Amino acid sequence: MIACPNCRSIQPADNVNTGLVTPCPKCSVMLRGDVFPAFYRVRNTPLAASAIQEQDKAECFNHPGKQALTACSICGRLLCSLCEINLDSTIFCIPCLESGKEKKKISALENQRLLYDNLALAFAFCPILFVFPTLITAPVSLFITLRYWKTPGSIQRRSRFRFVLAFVLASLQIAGWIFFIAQVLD
Amino acid sequence: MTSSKATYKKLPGRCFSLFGVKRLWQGSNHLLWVETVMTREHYKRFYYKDIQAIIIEQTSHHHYWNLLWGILILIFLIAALSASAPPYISGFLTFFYVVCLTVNLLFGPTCNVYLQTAVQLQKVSFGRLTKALLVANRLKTIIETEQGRLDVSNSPHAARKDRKPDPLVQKPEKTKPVFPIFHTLAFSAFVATGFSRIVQVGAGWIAMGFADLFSIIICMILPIIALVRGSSHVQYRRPLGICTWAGLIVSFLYGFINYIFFIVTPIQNPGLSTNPRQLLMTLINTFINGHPGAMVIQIGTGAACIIVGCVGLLVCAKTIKSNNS
Repeated sequence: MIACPNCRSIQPADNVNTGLVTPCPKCSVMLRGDVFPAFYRVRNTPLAASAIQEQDKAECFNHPGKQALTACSICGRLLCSLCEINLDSTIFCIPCLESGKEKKKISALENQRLLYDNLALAFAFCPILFVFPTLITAPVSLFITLRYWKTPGSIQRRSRFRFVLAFVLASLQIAGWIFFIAQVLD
Repeated sequence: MTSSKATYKKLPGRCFSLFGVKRLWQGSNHLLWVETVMTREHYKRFYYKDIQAIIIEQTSHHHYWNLLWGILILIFLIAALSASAPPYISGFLTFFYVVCLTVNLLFGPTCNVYLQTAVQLQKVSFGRLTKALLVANRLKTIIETEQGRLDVSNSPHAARKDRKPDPLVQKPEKTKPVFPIFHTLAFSAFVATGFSRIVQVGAGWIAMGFADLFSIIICMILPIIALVRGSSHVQYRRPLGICTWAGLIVSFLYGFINYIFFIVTPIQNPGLSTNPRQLLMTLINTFINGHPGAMVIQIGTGAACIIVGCVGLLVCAKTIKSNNS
């Protein structure tokens, strides 16, 4: 059964799936627990690849002599139950999965991204307080904005507002510096 | 390759850390936990078919906020009533804190939400309890569509009443007996700074003015160290964090006000811009026995420091007591 996050005591069955916030019997913290069928699912132990019993049956690409059950949806290699990887209802073999991860083509395997729009905005905005660093950071911000304009940003859809803001701020800072230097030279 | 654009729906609530924010998004077949740290996002996916349980735990953090707003209202109300001149600043601050208190009361109790899978127990946030219950109901429907409905009458609940917890299920982090040294130091510094700031208004000692400027730096550095190092005591981590954050915000606010005065003073007295020592003396004098607004700020931030420091020290004491037991 589920445990109370506060005192880690196991919650009685009566307190679970009630849809109500009930006190934990041990620490009296108010809790609500919703348990789903996955909680009782028996964990699958890896199956051994079944050997080919009959003639004219396809065999696994990686395990000769073992019966192929499916094919990789990318390269079409025949795979046994040990080799198949089911991800988002798509079957992959290990090399395709690895290359997909390296090339960042499988979105479900992506676990981090660099947010260039935030980076550009940080370079454009933060040094304003200290004035002088903007001489360097404004061109850097402008470069990041233009170089990574089309690079995928956050995994959630969001506008290019940060890029636009960074571009405007950096341009203003550069314009300001040009004006200042022109004044000094005059 | 499966490169289809996933669309996500924002779920309410978010957790703040020192340099980032954590938030949960609802996808077509999974929940996405996004941890944004400055310019980098880290993702964790919880597929609906793998979620074993959603646990909502009501917390008492809203009481701390009520206490904080209540005390601030009291302080500024007294200051407004006892002022001889029209109390614009203290009146505005009283009104502001009343709004804060009302909003906090309207939002209701706070909560922590946990998602349990076969291999982890992830703490997520759905904001306040009322909103969390609504979101949990919505997610429950989606998860039951994916996994099927748990038949309560036939469920293994009864059969598994004495079932041992799954050894693979990650328990909430074990508490390590730690002494929150940096938190304690930070809260002690807040209390000391608060008292010295209030005393300084009445006493008018220049040396205390210098000490106050120095204490701003201390009151910023210590909480940052405490927040970065954190405390591994699960039960009091959040209240400690809230108190430390509150102290840090007060310190930053006071530092920012000082900075504004530092900028404004040479504009008003152009002669001072070439004499940093004189400028510093004028700045300290303004705070000690000059501008009535500056005095109100001194007393207000001093009182806030004392409150935050005392509450923080109480939480620290609770943590230490809990560690010992």
